[in-house]
Amino acid sequence: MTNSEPIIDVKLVNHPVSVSAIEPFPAQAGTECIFLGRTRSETHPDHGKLVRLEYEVYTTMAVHQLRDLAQQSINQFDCLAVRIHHSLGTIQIGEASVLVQVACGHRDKSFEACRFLIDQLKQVVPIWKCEIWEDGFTWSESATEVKKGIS
Amino acid sequence: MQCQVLLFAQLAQTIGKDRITIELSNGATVNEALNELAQEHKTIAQMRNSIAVAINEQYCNTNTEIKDGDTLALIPPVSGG
Repeated sequence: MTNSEPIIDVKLVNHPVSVSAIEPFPAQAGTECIFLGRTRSETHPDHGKLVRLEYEVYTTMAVHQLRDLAQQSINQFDCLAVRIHHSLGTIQIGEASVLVQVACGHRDKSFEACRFLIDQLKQVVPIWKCEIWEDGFTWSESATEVKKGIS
Repeated sequence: MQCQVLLFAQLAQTIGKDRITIELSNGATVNEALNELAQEHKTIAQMRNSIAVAINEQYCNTNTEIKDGDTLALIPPVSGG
């Protein structure tokens, strides 16, 4: 257990993400909230069943953005530890591509911080999902236009 | 001045490159760079309204002036997570 500065652990990995213990665990944290995003089975009306996902990332900018988001969650929700891991490359059905793991003093802020981080990641971080179907591929049709800084 | 432009996702795939170098006049803005890119590449023209732009890994607006040595990135709609 530790009473030191909030922990930020941001990583892009070349494999599915997984949950592991935050160590050292912050002594003042009474709660931990974990979100894992997995690839679900889907069928496209024109391309058949989903085979796998391929993630492309603007790696250096994505890491900076994720670190910024982690710091925002510390400032806004008093997080004592923030871990955000995201996969690059191939992810199969059922595998997890994104992990958000936060530790806060109490549960309200843990839940809010976790939700904030995954929502913001999906809106601003330069990561793209290519969906490989039985017959063809699509760049995710639920992609979000980045509004930040646009005039 | 020369400006490197990074491309990603469907932009890179359609254009067939992950980076382009363009020539801009000193003091050119992001908007002027986009005009140049849209003239050369139909895909950029078609997606222009949905693309965000980053200079040196920071999102910017289209009035932002580009400096010599800056790296632009065209950011299509994102889909992380």
